Amino acid sequence: MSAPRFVVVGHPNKGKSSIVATLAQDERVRVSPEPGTTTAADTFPLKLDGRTLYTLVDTPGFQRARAALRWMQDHEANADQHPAIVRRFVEEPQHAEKFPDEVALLRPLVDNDDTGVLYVVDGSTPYGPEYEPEMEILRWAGRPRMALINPIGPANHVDAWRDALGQYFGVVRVFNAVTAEWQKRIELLEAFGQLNEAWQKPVREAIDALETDRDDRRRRAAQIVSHAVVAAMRFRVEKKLEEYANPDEHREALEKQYRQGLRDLERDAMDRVEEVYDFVDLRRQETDEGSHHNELGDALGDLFASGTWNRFGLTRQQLALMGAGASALLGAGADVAAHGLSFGVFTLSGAVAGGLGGWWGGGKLPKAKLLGLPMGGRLAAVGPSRNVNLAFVLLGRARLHHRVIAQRTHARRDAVELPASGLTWDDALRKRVAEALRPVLKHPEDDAVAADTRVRLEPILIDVLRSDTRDAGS
Amino acid sequence: MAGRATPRLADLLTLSVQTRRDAEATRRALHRRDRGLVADYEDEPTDGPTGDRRRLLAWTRRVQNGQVRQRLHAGWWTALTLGAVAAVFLGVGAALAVFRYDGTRPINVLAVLVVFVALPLVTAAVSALGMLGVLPRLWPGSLPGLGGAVVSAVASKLPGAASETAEALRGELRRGGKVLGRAGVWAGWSVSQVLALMFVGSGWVTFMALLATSDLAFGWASTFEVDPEKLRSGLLSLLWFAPGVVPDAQTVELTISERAVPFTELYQADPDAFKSWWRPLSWLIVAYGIAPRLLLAAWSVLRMRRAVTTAFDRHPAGQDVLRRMKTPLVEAGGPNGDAAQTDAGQTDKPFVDQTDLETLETTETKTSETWSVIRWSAAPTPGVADDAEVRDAGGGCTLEQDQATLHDTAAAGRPVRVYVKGWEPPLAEFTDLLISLRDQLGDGVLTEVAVVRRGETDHAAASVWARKLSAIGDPWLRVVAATEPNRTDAAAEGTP
Repeated sequence: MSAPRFVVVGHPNKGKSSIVATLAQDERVRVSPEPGTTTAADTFPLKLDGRTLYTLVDTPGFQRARAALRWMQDHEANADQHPAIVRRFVEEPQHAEKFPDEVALLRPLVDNDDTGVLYVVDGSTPYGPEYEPEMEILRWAGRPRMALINPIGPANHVDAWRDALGQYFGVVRVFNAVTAEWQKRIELLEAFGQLNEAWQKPVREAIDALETDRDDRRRRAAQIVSHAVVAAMRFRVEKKLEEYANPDEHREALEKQYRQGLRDLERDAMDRVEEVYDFVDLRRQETDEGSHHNELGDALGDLFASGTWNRFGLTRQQLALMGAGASALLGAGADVAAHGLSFGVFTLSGAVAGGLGGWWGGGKLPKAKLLGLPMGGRLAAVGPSRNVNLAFVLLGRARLHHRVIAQRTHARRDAVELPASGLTWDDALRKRVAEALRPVLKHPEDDAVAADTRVRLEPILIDVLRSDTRDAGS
Repeated sequence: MAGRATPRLADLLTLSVQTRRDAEATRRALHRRDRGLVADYEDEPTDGPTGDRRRLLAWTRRVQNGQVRQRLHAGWWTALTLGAVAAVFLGVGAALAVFRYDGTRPINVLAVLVVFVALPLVTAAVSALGMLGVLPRLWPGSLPGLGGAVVSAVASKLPGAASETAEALRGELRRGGKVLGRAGVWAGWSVSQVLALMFVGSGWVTFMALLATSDLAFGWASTFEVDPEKLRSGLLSLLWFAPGVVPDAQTVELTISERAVPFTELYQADPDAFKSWWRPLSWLIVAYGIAPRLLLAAWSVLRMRRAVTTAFDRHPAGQDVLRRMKTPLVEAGGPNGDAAQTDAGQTDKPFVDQTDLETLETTETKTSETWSVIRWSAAPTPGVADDAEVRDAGGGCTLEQDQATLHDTAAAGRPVRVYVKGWEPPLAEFTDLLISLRDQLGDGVLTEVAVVRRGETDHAAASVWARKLSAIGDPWLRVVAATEPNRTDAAAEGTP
């Protein structure tokens, strides 16, 4: 048995290509409101190590279904010969010119016995009699078939469609190709397998492979985010100043350069996460400064905008608690050293000082500082930031970005929409992340420490990203 | 694949070099390449470090048909051979200089000891301190920095492959962190020990060759005050394992070369005394010039292999390669496979062509007295009087009914309005009918296609009709918009 092929057919402009784009995870599939965008059958195989498990076939829409059906009816003998008549229709030499679309869409049905039909209609438009010749032709083709109601617009005619389609198709499902969450896509693939018992195994294998591949993508995204956050916490810009140069003239430029550097790091990581999910064409717009912004990056807001840190970072209470905890630990060391004679004063004062520091310092970025050089002159430098909240802001934005990208279908051509609420850090998770980041905050200059931090952060992020996308329906 | 599970430096460098080369390749292309290599190693254990190491080793030997590794391996040995040849030349040259004997002056034992015993011993001690980690503590960052500087200075002078290897090694030293950097440092130590060994070893061989082929005489002299007895006791201490080879006190005294009496006369008096020094010299070179170097070379090579193995097992790129080798490659893209390489310009963008919509007009009521009305595919007919005659075509009609509608409408000779559903696209069977109708009506009879819209969402679809029909290029054909009364998008209209 060859790998099953699922031929996606239907009226023009009813979302056939969208369904293929979503299931094939391929944004190159031409999706357009203009009818007739698909002019020839395109194949989209799902391969596992080069072995095809199934193939999706995108086809042009029916254009002269009544005339095609009439030709078939004119050549009708017995019902058992219907598939042969469809084959004859496809092979008739004049039909390539007279019925180019019907020949293109029916040819995949007659070429291969292991072929299923997915008939796509738009559930937001009313059912009409013009669809009946199409469904009748598909019945004549004699292949296992399923109808997919793809609601493109806001109106709801799904029930009427369900009634009509039920007369021609054994399986009728509603599937929104543009908004379908991962689990819906998997359920649809499972339904493909139900069309023919022999197809269940390859389809099951394909689903397992897709699940594994999705987990691998999450892991790679976590790797990218982990690298970016560690790089951001080590980021530093510097400028060598002449001995008598006025440092104030350079301070602002250097701090601006520092912030831009962090933005670039974040943007680069987002681009790479999008690439992991095979999105290379998310729309971009050029800013006044000439740099390219990803629309999603813009939707997230500027990294240093006033609301961003409140939205994505830790709360003041969390920062205060974290600062208090760390400083109390240091104070406790001093108390122990004093053999308890200090009555816990160091612990208490450490906790208070650390808590206040966390409360007030959570939104602060490093300022430019001046360093003397051994050979004369001075070095103005900004960074690295010791503020753990910067890492949490970056991580929070990365999590939201990842969730949107991981759930986005490849049929979408619209702007990215972000959920209003951010993703929260529960206490246990926050502690794990803060613990993993601690070494690089203490020794940002040490390559080995940075590598070690990445290694510690990555598995935590894998869990987080997995959980984030599971919450969203995966 | 039954293969050695110990990575060599060339394997580590292959990982490093190939990773840099792979930076521009797409993830899927790399996955396809590396997954393709896995087929040959399926009989290997799937779990555990040894299995992973074997896979990775197989990868370094297979990737790019093994050319990268071959080149780096050849480069490593070329650089080592060139260094060894230079060290041998230096050793032979130094030996010819210090063992130079023309019969007028004896060979100075102390000069031999300085060049082939003291100098190697001091540098060996420094090496040992470095290898033990004492030197880096005294002078942090010195070794990788110094090693990198040396490698960098040498790299540009080396031939192609060797230069590439040296640069890769320098890269490991510079950015490798503790684990990878250690492999580079130990590689540096190994090379330096081997070269030093070559220097002393070739000097000793030259010494033996001169001894076998010529008549050498040894004496000793120094600008400093050296007590012959102390010299002898020093030698005895150094050669504690072979005290018999140390000349006796009388011989040591006799062979002082700086005397008033000419050397030739002294030599004539007791030639054996002047010849007796070769044995202690030979032993001293072997014991203090060669043996420590041998030990250090063996130690450093051993440590280098361990460091290389550790670095190889922990190399981040290695983990990526292994993951690609082990993870099944799922390709769900289109005919050309790699979705990530899409030309962005090829993907369609959503559009709502507002200029097309502006050409549409709101239709006013028409009656059948002045207009013929065709209802395509059971489209609503807003603006048509209730008693007006409406002819059907398309949809549930037969082809014969279409022909009858066409014939009757053309025969009436009045302007024609055809109502179509704005939410459905214009099909070829509709344009076929329209073109036939226009042919039969001829010029001078207006034909309007009224695109019935139910709300804002049909605007874009209606503009599609306008574009499609304007492509026919008939001046007597125009497209107008009609809005279905009392309909909203949310209304479930059901079947017509």
